[in-house]
Amino acid sequence: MSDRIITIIPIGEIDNSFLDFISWSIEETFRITTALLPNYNLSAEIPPPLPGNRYNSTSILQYLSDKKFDNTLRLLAITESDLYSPIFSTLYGEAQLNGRCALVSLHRLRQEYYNLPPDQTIFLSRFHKVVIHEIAHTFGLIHCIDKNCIMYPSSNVIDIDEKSSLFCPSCNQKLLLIN
Amino acid sequence: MDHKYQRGMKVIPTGERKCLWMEAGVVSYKLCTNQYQCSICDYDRAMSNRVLKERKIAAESVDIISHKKEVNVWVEEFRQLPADQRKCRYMLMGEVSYKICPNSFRCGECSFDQMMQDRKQPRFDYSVKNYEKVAGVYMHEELQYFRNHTWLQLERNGKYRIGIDDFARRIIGKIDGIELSAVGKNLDFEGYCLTIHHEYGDLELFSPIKGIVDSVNQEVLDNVTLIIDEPYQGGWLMTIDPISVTKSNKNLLKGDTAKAWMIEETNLLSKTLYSDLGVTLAEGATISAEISQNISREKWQELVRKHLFVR
Repeated sequence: MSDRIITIIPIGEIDNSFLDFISWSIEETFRITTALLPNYNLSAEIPPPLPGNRYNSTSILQYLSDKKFDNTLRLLAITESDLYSPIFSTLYGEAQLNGRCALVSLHRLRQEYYNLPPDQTIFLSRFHKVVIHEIAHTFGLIHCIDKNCIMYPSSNVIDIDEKSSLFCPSCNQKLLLIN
Repeated sequence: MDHKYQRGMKVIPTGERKCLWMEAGVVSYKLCTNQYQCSICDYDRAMSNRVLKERKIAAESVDIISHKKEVNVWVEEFRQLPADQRKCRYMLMGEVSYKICPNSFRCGECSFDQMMQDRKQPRFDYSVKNYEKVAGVYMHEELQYFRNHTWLQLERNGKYRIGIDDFARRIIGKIDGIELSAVGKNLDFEGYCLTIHHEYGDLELFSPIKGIVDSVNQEVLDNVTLIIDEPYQGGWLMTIDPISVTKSNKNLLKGDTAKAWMIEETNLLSKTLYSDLGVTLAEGATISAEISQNISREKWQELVRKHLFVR
């Protein structure tokens, strides 16, 4: 039972209410206890960002996967910074398939990013979907072709908004088998 | 436009359209099921091949004159038909009120047919607004995709326009040069039809359909960056006059099937690019157009082999 914890690491300043929301969200979905670590400053540990404060997600995942965290089954890092990787020019999140670490950026999930009025409900819904999607990758689920499934690979926030916050029967079955 | 164009004329229903071979009196009964697009009609091709074969036999025969007379008899008979029985196919379809065929239904050699095709040709809207992004890759609902990441669009004249898709152009990244099969070349199904020169090696892509190269995009030969900048628009590669689409069609993907395939392809891409982190999957991801610059030559070659089936 000791290593049945999903550890959440805020990278930089993240609003506490968002972190509380996502802890609850993860516990409700995966039935696994979460633990919240204090804010983490990675700027000295990883390569400097590209212009626009864009960080290489692979570097962050590499750093986190090399680090030891007690009692941690899965590790979720959350950042306000924008992400890119050598393979993907833009992304909302990245995770190790069947691995330990997942990373999510809030940068492109807010309405304000698209010059629209702020909407907390929409933002939290997107946040929830991206986080659950990424953690599910760490449990071995790949992208699903069902457009309503939370494991559908969104190309933009419209895709995120349109898909449900639940797993399709097939992905749900896989998750149950894994757990 | 069509309403005005067809006003007052009788539009012939599909089930009552006589095949041109029937119109010419060569066969007693055969209806057209193909909108008189003879160039993609297997029946027309079979009949034409038969005539060609008989002509060849006649040419090799001692009694050439009599054989030629025999094999061309239907053409002569056709020409001698009363005018009202030598209707142009556009008259048969009710698209023009009166037009007599001057060309023995060799529509491919007819300037009037070319003019009508040009007027009828619906300009396929290749503009970006009609594309949907699937797993970070632009796809078009009306295009057909082949598993080596070539796309096809059936034109009204029965020819297939082909090019490479958004996924392929992102993986390839930068093209140094291109060679396209010459017009008139007979392409076997899965026969190589183009070579892309890349700094990591030449890529030979095979044809998604069996047919004859009808035209090549001269602009692409002059400016290869069009393939990367506008893969679905100015970057099209060639048009192919299909010999047999039946077999090829089974391998062509469209709509939801194509989208599901593209998602599987992006999953496979992530698996191929495993690193010290193992396989990573991303959400909201768009494949970088500079991927070839960020991975090793060996990894890139593995990618193009797995996804583009290149030689």
